[in-house]
Amino acid sequence: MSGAPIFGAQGAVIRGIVSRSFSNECHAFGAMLGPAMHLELGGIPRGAHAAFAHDV
Amino acid sequence: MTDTQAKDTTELKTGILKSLWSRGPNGRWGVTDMKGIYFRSKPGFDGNYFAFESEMTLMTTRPSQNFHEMTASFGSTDFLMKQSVVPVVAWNEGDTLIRCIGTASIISCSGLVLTAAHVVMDPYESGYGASLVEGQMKWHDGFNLGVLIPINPAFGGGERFFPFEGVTTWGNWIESPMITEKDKFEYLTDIAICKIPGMPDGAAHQPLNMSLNPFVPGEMAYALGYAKMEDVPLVYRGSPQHSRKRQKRYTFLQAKCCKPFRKIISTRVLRHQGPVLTLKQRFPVK
Repeated sequence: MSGAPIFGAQGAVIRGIVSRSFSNECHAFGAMLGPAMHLELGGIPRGAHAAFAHDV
Repeated sequence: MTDTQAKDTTELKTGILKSLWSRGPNGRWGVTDMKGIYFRSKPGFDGNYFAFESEMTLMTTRPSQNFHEMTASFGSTDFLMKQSVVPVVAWNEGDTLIRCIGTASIISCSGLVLTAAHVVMDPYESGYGASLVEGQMKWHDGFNLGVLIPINPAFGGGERFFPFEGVTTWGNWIESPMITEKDKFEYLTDIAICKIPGMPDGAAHQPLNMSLNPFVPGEMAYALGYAKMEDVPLVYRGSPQHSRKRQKRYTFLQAKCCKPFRKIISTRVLRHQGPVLTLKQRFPVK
């Protein structure tokens, strides 16, 4: 399920992405979209490095 | 609403709001219709984690004049969801299987895709498709990474492969002091934005709606993805296997259906390499 969209508002919108899921522990973690919006999309993010040679 | 429809909507509690997008006469993308799609569990699953029954759905009574957009506006629930929630696949030229390494969502008509950062980093971390070259990760020659989007079965069926043309993740490389250990990528957030080519003839991809607002305590969360998806046999054109199987147009076999699970968000918020939430869930027994 890694990368799967997590829907909120009764399925109206995506609020996050499944990050880790563990079938044996009945638990999953997800990354929220909102707090990630300050990250720069094109080029090198502030204080971090883009992992890939070709950015969007 | 008929009595049957009213009965169905009261019984079916899990669903999503699906928008239908197309390019307007002025060349701009726009929503032409919206529809709630509800998921009915297949027999043998509980209500919290299930594969859904596929039912014929008509997204609009005024389909687009663009052929590709028109074919994306009707079909089974399974087909319509696979226009927006797609499997991330990877393989090297010559492989006999396509690895299914995760799930992604289409988030723009032009082909922006949202997935987990560790999904697109898997070819590096597992060592089958990428290497770190001068501080940046690069695909190996002959390596393919992208998503599969189905073609309407009414028009031949099959899957289209859309390769990732660009990928952005956020984090920092941590250099390993050990020669035998690879450098690690420490994620700022486990989110990746990827770009795939547009649909043929300028047609729109079918994105899902996003919100930047957080969950509130008690709000239901639904995840829809390709859980435990099996690798897909890859048959090359001209090969004996290809002739024997008589593939119609595409070399990919049909992927398995989406398997959603639905859970309640807990009020506890964890901080783990970036903004993370935790949610309770149960999985079917293997």
